[in-house]
Amino acid sequence: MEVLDVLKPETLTEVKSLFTEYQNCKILAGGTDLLLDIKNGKQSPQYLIDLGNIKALKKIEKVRKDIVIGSMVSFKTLSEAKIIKQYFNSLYHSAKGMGSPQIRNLATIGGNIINGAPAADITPCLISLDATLVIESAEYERFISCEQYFIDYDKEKVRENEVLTKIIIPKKKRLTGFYKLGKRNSLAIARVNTAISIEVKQNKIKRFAVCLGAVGRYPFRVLELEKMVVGKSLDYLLADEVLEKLENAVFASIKTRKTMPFKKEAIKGVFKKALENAYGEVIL
Amino acid sequence: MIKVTMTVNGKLYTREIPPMMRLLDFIRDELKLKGTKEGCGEGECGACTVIIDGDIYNSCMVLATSCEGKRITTIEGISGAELHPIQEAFLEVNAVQCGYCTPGMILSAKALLDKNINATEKEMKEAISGNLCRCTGYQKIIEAVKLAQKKLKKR
Amino acid sequence: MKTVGKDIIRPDAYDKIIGKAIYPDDIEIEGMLYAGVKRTTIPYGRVLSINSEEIKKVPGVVAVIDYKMIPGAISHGVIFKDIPTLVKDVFKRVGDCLLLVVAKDKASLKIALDNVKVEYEEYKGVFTVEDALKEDAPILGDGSNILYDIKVKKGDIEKGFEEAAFIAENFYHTQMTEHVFLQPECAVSTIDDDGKINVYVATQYPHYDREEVAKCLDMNEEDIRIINTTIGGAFGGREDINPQCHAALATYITKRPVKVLYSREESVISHSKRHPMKLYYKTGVKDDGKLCALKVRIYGDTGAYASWGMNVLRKSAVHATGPYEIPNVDVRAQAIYTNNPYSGAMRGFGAAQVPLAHEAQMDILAEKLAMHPLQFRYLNAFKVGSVTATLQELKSSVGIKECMEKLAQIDNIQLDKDVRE
Repeated sequence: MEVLDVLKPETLTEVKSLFTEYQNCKILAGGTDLLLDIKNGKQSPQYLIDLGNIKALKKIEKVRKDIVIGSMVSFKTLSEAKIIKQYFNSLYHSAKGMGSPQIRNLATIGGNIINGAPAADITPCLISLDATLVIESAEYERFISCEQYFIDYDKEKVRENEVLTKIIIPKKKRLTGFYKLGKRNSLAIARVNTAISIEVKQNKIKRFAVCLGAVGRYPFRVLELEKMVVGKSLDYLLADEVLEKLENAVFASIKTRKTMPFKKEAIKGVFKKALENAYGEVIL
Repeated sequence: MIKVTMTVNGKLYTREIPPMMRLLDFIRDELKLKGTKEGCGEGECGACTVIIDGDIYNSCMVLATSCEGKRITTIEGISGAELHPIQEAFLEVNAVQCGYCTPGMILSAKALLDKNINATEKEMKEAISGNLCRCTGYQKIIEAVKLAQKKLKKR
Repeated sequence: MKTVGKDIIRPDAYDKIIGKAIYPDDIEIEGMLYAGVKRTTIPYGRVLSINSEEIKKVPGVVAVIDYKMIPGAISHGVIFKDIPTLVKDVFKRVGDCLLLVVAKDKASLKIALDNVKVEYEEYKGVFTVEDALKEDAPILGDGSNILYDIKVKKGDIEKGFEEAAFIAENFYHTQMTEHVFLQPECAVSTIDDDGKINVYVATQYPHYDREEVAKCLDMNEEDIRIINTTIGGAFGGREDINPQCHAALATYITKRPVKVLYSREESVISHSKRHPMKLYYKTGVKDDGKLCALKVRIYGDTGAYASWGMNVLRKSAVHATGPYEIPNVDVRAQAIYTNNPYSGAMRGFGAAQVPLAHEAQMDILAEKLAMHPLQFRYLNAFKVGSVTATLQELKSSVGIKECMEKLAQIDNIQLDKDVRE
């Protein structure tokens, strides 16, 4: 089956009406993965809906206590936006280190989330930052935390009549960091990546979030570890028992995979690098 | 077939094309501009790099139809009777080996220097990080971009 | 002197920087057809049937060509003619060519090739040199799985090791490497009014190509012209025949210009690779830091076909000592057939694999001697007058000690130069 047409709506309303007019549609949100999937026969939609012309989806805005990112914001825009660098260090670094300049110009935050790759760069950051996804259809609008979206992926994933429109991230004061272990600097797909977010109160950890990527079907948080460090000082994050929790989490997630022995070791270094990234200084 | 209109190297083109035609095929097969190369077809090598509205893209990953109304620059579009300073620099420092990556390298360098004439060496390396050279002549290529920067500043 | 000592601009660079250099895929000729091959997807077996008749009916298909339609030789190879141009029955690797399809455009060709269905009888293959040397292994070569076996001996190896104060004995292995030249293979062929065939291709050996195409078409070499286009990288990967014979054959049969263009995937599947090698090294050194004995066994996985396997392993054997004087040497290197992709030429041609082993050995021995690794190398490095393991006397231009002295300077290492002579 081949693609019969590429539809190019100018507004979100138009997109939603296209869902009822056309069957077997797929949204083109950059296309760095989708176009290859179609070429290789992994996906065979009849219609593509190219969101490239919808300006409303390309904005990053401050809305009260949140930052709202349009789903068609490119990685380039994300890595160059002052507001992102100011509030979400992890997201900034993740966006800056993704793919190559060419890929960053084309690929979008929405595409990266919806594609749902285990090694997606942006998703661990969004989960650790308590991001919420806004998914719309002609009839409704639903809000779901990015974390829940991937925990309940089969139930929650965007349906054929839905489109991811926004990503909302609470604008809180916190230290955030990201690190990706790849085989090379440019154009690397993560072997392991980690995003962290720390809220500190009176030199003690008030809240901690850590999300691991490329060590399971989807990125996931290590809740046990997160609870364990609350009330402790920042130094405690490098304690052996903390690193051991990470190792165990990776082991439990990919027990039978060939890469497990490597990844359960690597995660400890990657976690330290993510901490360094958050502190902005070398701690090793 | 769908109709698409775009400006390539300053000239307006309108064509009827299959919906899934890549920008790369549009440039090579429809417009017969053969300077844009296909190396991998999946965004890894950067040989097919073109400039769209000032930014670089892998033309193998962009649908031609998505370029409606856009301005595209290919290697054939950066010089007239005289070479562009970046091309001169590539010649002068011998930054060319097999030449297959060269058009993409030059366009990546151009997009950088057009935006930031004071780019640092680190920014230059970053700018060409999506363009693979398999003859491994990156050193010369960076030298060429630096020389081009000097030439452009003098202008 | 016009050029010596001066910077010159490569004559081909100008066309390359303006995008006007012509690589094969940049050639378009009116009425040109597109051809491509269906390749094997399993590593070892026999073809039972192919749905060629069905493929002929695919819209846009102009010709479907199998081995029976080749007028001359049905296989090719730089030394042994063992690589099938189109498979007759038995094939030995993933990527062997089964059926050549010619169509009026790229899209029809893709549909036709996607629809080729092959029935195989699969054989049990061998994928490691160890398995290939077992007694019950299937024989892939000419009566044996050993394509080539070379020995290099100098001095008395037993005596050499008796003199040793320290011995390092280790196994090493190197991986298969792909050239990934940036321009995937492509060839365009045309036919003149008098029946002469022209093939435009990016190649390392136009003269060999001419011989192979002539044999394939059973024509005189004078009636075949190979035109070398601009070459988008090669690194040894364009030494064997790839699209040349297929393009020429398609033109010969259809009497039309034909282009054969590989995707990156097909490029990786089809051409030769760097030999993966397993190396056994036993190196002996005397108390004074002088190397006294070296025993080496090298097993190169040469894959399904010979290509340059002999020459590559010969080079490994010759270079096995590294750039060091060793009085007692016993080296044996073998090229061994398996059902892996065939190995051939790639940058260094067998000399690139052995340094992993001989240099690791040097580091290990330097540590045992408690000597700086650079000093240890310096002490043993070739100089003018040295005799290599193959008994070649080096009479001039041996710059390695000088090079090491510069290195020592850069890194502030005190080299004891008294040991130089």
